[in-house]
Amino acid sequence: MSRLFALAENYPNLKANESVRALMEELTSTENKIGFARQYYNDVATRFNTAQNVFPDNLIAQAFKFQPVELYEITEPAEREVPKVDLNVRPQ
Amino acid sequence: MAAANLFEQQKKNLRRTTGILVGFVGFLTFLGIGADFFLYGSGAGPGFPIATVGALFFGAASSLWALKAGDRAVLESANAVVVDRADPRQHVLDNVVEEMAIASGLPKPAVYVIPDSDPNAFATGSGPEKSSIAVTAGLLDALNREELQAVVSHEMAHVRNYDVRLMTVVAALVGSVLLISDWGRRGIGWGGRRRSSRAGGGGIFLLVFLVLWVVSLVLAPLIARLVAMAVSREREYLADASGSELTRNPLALASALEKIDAAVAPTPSIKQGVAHLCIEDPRGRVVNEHEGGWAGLFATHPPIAKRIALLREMAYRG
Repeated sequence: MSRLFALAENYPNLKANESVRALMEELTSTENKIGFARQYYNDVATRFNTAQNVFPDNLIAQAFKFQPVELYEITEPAEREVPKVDLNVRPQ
Repeated sequence: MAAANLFEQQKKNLRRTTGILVGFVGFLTFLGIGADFFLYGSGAGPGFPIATVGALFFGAASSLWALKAGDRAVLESANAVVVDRADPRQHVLDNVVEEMAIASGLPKPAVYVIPDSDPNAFATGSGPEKSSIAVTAGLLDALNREELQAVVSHEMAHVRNYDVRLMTVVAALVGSVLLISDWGRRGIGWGGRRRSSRAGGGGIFLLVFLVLWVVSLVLAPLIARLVAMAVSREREYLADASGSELTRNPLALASALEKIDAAVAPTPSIKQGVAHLCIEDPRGRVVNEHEGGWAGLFATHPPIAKRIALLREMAYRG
């Protein structure tokens, strides 16, 4: 993403192009949606994990052997990298 | 734990909601009983309490109607039109609303645009399952993507915290109280003559009740409005906080509020009755600049400078 934006900065015409702008908006939005979905899962999971350790919910959690759930975390640095977008490919 | 704290506050919000509704029902009953006593004279005999039943029925019916069709009425009164994804700016708005719906884990609200050049936004509906978010065209022009996201997150928080449902019902109940007290005041002259014809039946208790009833009839419109505004004010801070919890970006909301505040002009296409649903008071009055005192009582929103300061502090604490 940052690469794409950097590219667009260098070519003002490209930035003005409507399809490129629409593409950038879609990329931004898609990235945000993934990020917010992950954030929502982590928020709910954290609340669930915390509740298991807080009285009185912890009694029930222990009695029924609840396990804390895993958070959605990115461990591999490669996954954290944003996908590259190459605008140099010409349509046939 | 900011998150746990917010969760607590939401619970407290729900309890307070119940308290406010019970208060309104009690008030309507009081007005009705008074009318039965002094206007229809059923206090003397075992007559049917027509005014009490009527007042309660009227309050319930108008609340139900507001929940069912109130959002449509509000949107129509603001000339809101459904978002047009062909327009690049509105496309961004639609995307941002979808992102915030994902972040809050709620179904996506319907998105509307109001053709007005003053920046403002509001949410309406009967709950998270049926809600709408409307923003003015001026807001789309004035804010960048992050700030727009912050404003939408604030509205989304109003939806998630059940503020939209509460404010819809409160607005309907305020309307009922206004109507019933008006009708009661008109009846006083006529009922008073009837009462004097069977004089001496009451005693001191009845006299006190009569005075209380007349005083509350006179003050009813004022009290009802004050309650509605107090409810609205306290919920703005919570919506700011839980909106920032969705975006993780309180500074964007702070700068959006600054830009909205800079445009001091009123938003003419948003009617007074919807003021408490907006991100900032559409009447563009200066009463919101100060908290406390007389001005504070009549404001639907807390002072914007204080909201911005709180958001900054939130960002500072991380």
